[in-house]
Amino acid sequence: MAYVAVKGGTEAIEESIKRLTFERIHAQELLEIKTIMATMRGMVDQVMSESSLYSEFLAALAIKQSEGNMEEAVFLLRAHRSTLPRLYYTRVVETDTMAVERRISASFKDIPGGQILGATYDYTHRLLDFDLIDESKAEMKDWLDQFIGEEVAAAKESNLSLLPKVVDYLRKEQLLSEVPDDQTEPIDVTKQSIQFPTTRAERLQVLTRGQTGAVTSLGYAAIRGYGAIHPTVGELRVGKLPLTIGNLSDDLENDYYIGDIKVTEVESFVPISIPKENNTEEIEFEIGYGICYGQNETKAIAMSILDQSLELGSGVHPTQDEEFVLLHIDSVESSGFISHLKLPHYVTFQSKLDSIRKIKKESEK
Amino acid sequence: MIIDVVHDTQAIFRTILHCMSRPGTIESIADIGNQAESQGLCYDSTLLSAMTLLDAEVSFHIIGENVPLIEAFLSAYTLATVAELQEADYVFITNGTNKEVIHNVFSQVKKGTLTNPQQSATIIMETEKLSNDPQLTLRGPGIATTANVQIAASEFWTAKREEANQEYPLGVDMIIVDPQSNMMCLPRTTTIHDCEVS
Repeated sequence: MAYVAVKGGTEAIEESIKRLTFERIHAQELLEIKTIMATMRGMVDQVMSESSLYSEFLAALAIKQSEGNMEEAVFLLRAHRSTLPRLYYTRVVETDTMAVERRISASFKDIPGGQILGATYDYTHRLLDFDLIDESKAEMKDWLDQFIGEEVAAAKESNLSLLPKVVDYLRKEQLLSEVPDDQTEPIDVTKQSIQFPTTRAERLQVLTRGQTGAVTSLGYAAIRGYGAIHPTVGELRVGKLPLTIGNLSDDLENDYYIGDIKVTEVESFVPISIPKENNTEEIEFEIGYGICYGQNETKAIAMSILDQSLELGSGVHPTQDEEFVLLHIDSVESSGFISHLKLPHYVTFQSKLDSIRKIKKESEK
Repeated sequence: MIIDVVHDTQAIFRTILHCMSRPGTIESIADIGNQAESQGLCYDSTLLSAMTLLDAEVSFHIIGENVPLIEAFLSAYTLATVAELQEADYVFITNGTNKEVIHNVFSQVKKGTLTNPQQSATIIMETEKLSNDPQLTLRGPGIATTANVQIAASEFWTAKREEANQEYPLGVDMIIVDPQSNMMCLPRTTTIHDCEVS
């Protein structure tokens, strides 16, 4: 049998694509890009994070085009990313330069600089707000005017751009050991496919672009028993990081500021017991690190768990196995492989049928 | 030369892609970009190909005349870095380069490794004239039976190219351009034979 399956069908495919456009627009409701950017913050952040491309506008466009299908939006944006020229690399950013919007610690009540709750769903009642069905622009404006008035009245002089990090405080107390800076050039996983064993830089890159749901699930599994850690969030911060690029003179003073990106950063403390000579154990803290574009706290915390889990890497549990974790959390890879099963497999399937028939025939003899 | 860095380079990329997949096909990029004001350092089509293929992630090497000027121009516009011949991802050979130098290019350039054959160089070569007159016969993937081409001064390098490509999948891919902004590609899978005289 010739491979006829892939021939023909062009017209059917064209009609199918028309059908898709029809589904998107048949209700004749227009979703503006600016509306998505203004109201779908969580979704825009997730798409940017999973695509490794920081552009709220393009993420919103991808969401519009894919009718809110996350995996499709991420695929679109990753594809677009691969066509962009790479011109500059930003300087390494120290996260203590972050303009903090939210910053909490679950380890210490009183952290230097204080806990800043910022915007979070954590303290809301998870009840549907039926008032939102009839939200009006006038009401919005009233609420905003009042809120901004209160803010200005309550505002005190405070510098949120140079808050000390909780980790540094612990280092000062010598509860955490000093870690020397690692100055090796990281391997870019978007240019060079990962080879095992991986470096930590590669693991962090794969984790930060991992699918939110997958990273969260595996992080959860690592705590629940398919792993061996239980972390405490040392510090979680959400805020904007300023980005600069160097110029030819290589003088830090002359760097160009190119904008800022919003990120969520988590440092988790993980207790590790170290066996000592006289059959005793000593407990030390290690740090799991999580960071991702936008405000996505669950993913960043789960990432910090997986980072530490892979760093231990004893291989007893699946969440300590880098191949298991890193190869399965990528949105495009996993959704791509699963959905390729829809494509014609007529020949492979026929050959399987053939061999089953042959075996049956022979056993009937 | 004025070009639209997004759309013009996309059109050129599309042309290169087409020529690579159909070796022997000659396509013109003369109507891309406003070429009234030529740089005069090398062919416009060479510069346009460079603008399309280079960015800060890749390196290039120039062989021929005006090397420092072309290097300065391309580094400034594409942010690509200049590298030694043995290291360069893209090697540009301007017209009029002599045989020994071209031979040296084919023996020195990156041809990839067996695990990463894609880590090889692409040679962009200028020639006086490209046409489909029967001088050379091409065979290989992307060509239904055979394709005829004429490449001016090809006798300088066809044997050397064959030598560079003998350990498939290792080898070099070529883009050949002429002053009329015609373009033709020779991927490493294409074999070149002299036309049989009938």
